[in-house]
Amino acid sequence: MNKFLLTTAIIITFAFYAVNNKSLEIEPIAIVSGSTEINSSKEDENAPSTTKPNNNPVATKPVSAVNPVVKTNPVVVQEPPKTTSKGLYKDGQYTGTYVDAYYGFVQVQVVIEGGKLTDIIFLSYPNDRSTSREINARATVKLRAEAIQIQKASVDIVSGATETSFAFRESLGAALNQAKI
Amino acid sequence: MPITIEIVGTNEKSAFDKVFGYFQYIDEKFSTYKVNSEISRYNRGELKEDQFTQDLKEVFNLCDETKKLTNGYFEIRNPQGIIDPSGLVKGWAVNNAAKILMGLEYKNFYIDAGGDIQAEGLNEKRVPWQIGIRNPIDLNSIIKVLSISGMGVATSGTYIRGEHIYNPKNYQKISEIVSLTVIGKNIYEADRFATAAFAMGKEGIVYIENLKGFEGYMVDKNGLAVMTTGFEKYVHHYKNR
Repeated sequence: MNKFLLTTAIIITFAFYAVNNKSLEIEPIAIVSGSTEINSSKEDENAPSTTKPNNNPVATKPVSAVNPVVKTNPVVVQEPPKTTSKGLYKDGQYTGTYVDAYYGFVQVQVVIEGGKLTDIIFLSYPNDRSTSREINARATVKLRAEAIQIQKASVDIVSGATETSFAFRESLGAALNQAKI
Repeated sequence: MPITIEIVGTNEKSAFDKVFGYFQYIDEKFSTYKVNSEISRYNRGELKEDQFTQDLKEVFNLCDETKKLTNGYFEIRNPQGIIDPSGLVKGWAVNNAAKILMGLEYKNFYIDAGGDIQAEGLNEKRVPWQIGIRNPIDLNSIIKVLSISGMGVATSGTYIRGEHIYNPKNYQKISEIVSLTVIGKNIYEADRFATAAFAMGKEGIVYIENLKGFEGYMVDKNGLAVMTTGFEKYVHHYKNR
């Protein structure tokens, strides 16, 4: 019990230290605030990242081609506003990296409200302490966290989620048949 | 789902036809949207086990194996009781299609089926294929550029059409994370593990970290990304201006 309290104290101290000193384990995040909506209603699968106004569709155009050869039309992403990450914590929840807190992997999530650290949520708990001590060959692994940043770049292809079900559209099938004639 | 193929240096229609034809075959067999696909007939109980085709058997076997490997997190039975193996079939099909092209002696190409990609060799500019990871929060932008050659890249996510992925252990919707990209030695492997790892929620990235030969990039609903320790080697760095 005492060990748990000690661990907790260490982790809280650590988290607090990290939060206040902007050190690496819990990164100050240029934040997408809590009100960000995930745009899940977007149906547009055909133009993932292009903003070139008069360009041909980019590499991921659907297969309706009579000529199925796809050229490499670079996908250029519109330049985003600069992210601010000068160490100012906006309100929200931040997930810290996994830290080996002596007992095992722990993930710490901190909650900032009114600019202050108000809560810490442990997302995964330390391993059983006794076994960890015996088999403590585990190296410390920290997974780096970062705020996502929009990239201004030309790419050949875009990887993203689509329908989780594997389903061609009927029209797509028909177009393929037409192309075969 | 759009299928895109690029083969560097060729206009040979027959190669494209073979691969598109293969995907059409796969669709007709495995699409849960097609009433008469083999998987739909299976789901209606119209097939006896000795009537399964070879590919259906193989897919079922691979799904079983993947379920064991992932401690049950890879699950093809959805909460409504329908068997839908698409979380494995997509990558498996792209991988098979890539083998078709390799069998035809093509060395520099990519195949992209709805964001699951196998990229071989080099692009037209004679550098590895530049693959962007779609921003799950703003679908018209990308958040990372990867340099890929001879690997597969798969992204699991829930940001398209309000789709839901469930944790099969408790049938709770995964809502904490919105995107998980996995890089693996081929797209079949990357896809099945991306599917399973996503169902683990935030723990998914730890699973990928512990999986030898795979790297991952996970985005949570707040736009915070966590990456595996070896992920950085695939990231293309360039001047932003």
